[in-house]
Amino acid sequence: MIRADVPPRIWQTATFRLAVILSLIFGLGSAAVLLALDFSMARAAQSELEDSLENQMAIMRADIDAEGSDALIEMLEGHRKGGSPTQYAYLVHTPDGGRYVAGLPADLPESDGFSRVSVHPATPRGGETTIDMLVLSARGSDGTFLAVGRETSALDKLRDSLHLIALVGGGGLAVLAVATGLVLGYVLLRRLERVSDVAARVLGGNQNERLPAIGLGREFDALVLNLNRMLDRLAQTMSALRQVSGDIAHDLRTPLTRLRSLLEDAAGSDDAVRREVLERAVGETDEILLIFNALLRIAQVEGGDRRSHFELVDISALVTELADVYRPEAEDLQHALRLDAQAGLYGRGDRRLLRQLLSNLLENAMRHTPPGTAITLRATGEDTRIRLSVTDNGPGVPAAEVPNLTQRFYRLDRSRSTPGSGLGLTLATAIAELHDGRLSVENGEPGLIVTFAFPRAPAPAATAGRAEPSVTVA
Amino acid sequence: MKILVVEDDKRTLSFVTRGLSEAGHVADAVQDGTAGLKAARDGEYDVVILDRMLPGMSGLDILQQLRSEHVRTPILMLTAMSTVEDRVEGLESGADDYLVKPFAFSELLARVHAIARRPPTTDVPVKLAIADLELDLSSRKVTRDGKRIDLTPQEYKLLEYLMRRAGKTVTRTMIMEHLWAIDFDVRANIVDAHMSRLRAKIDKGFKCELLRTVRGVGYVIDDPG
Repeated sequence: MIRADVPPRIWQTATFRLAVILSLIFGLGSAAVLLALDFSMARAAQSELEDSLENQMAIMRADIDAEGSDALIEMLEGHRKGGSPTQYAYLVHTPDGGRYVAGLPADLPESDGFSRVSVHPATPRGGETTIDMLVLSARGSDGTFLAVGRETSALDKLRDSLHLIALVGGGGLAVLAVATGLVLGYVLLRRLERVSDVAARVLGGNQNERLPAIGLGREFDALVLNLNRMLDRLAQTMSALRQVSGDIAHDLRTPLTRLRSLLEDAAGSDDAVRREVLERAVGETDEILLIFNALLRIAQVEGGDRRSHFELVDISALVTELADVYRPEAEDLQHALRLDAQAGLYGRGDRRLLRQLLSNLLENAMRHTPPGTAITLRATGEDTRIRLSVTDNGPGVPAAEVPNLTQRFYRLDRSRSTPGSGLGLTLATAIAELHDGRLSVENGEPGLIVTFAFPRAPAPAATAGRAEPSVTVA
Repeated sequence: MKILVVEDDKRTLSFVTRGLSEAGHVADAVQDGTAGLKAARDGEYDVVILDRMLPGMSGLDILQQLRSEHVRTPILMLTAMSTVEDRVEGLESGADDYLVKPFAFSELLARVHAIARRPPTTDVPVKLAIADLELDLSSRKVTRDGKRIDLTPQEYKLLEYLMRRAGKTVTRTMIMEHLWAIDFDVRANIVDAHMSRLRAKIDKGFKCELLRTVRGVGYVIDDPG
């Protein structure tokens, strides 16, 4: 089991394990190379030895052919007595009993070809040593048995020292690799431990702390950078969540409290009053449902994939109809609702959501401005974008409050008493983002301008190319 | 009318059936999807009220099954899921209307009346008339007592919608949903504002009032005489 709060031991680190694996691979590789080298060296040395023996044999047989076997023995004796050093051991048996033996056992079997022979000469100190020899034996043209041998110990020595070098070198390499792994593992472990410690502290509630750089390379820094961005995002979400739950508690508690006292009232009152009290209770319930529905809608728009429902929408017709639908109500509230819509504007989107966005903006303007305010619903097209705006010439919003307007449940203090979910602009922002658009709020001095800008789509073929007259209704 | 209510929540079920009985209808209650399908198929009801989420078989499946068997009983879907997709899916599967929970009973009743025995859409009348109020569908002319009345396009739509449902109460949300595709919460009294203007044009100065407000529910147009 992995426990995050226990720092890993050095041999548990990835670097160390990599080093061990690498040294294993190195070791196996070196062993393979060594085997191959050993084999080919042995082959080369063996054939060199055989060549030299065959060469000696050829010389001896040539001597017999030229001068006879006795002359050969004499010449060999002469060489030995003359003290000339030789690597070779000889044995010569002539058919008529002549013998010469130097360095080979006298009872060497008289067979032709190569053979391996061990001799045990006495050492000067009286002991015995073993010399391994390769011997070539053959018969001369006059029937003389000839044998010539040479020590193989030089080859054995070479192989021994090669093995030693391989063993020491390979072992050294392995130790070096493991040591490097330990050091690198330690360094990385230390740096990662710092990151891990910070992560643990963030987890523990200190959400403003951020991970330190790991160093050692760009990939590590990029990782930390992204992790920190993730933490930023999480912190934002957490704070939004806290804000929302606080706001829900606040905004739902008020109507719920009112509902509760109304119901208590109803329980205690006589039939004549009860009816009216209960009707007000239903009204309060509707208020709560309104907030609830707005939250649900926002969650749907922000979370769901509604783009599959996108279609080509005649924006000009949509704003014109909305203005027509809202105008009587605006007039009743003594607002003048003006429409300034360019014809022939098309955009891709969810028709209902676009309608809801504009309704929200219109209702905000109507609800939060005093009678006599002029409200303008404007639709203008640029090359690639459509700008839909709702402008009023009312008292506007203090400059410092403008950025807060699109926050969830945000309401100016002075509009706390007006009913409303406080979610209208949040929902509008969510819808705008779904349409690859942007919702911006600015001071109109006087009044407020809320603009929704999003991509324009080409008009369908049937209406393309038509002139675009402007519709202005006062 | 004989109405079938398929709904698994007992409280909602008794709330609806009691209300329907009080309104003078015969209401049969079924709590399970499979039994609901059987009852709707065999019962010869005037209207079926169908919850979307049911044990046994979902309301949407029942709806699709009934329509594939050419059962043409008007069906009102009840749904707790207020997403546009759900509504569109329900209507495309052959529901006549839908209502999102929670709802006011008066809203449900108005919608049940509206979909019951609705004249087939193929039978297109040329002219709608109530008392001396006439609406010519082809020329889009409206007259009362022979006098020409000028209406804005929205007022005309509203009047036509009401006159096609003469004698039946039409709720504010029905108007917003069916005429303007506003299926979200709206604060403003946009319907009332249009209605008062329409009323001023068609009723003011004439001998009797045709357009009446049904308190707490909506509007109805009918001939008082």
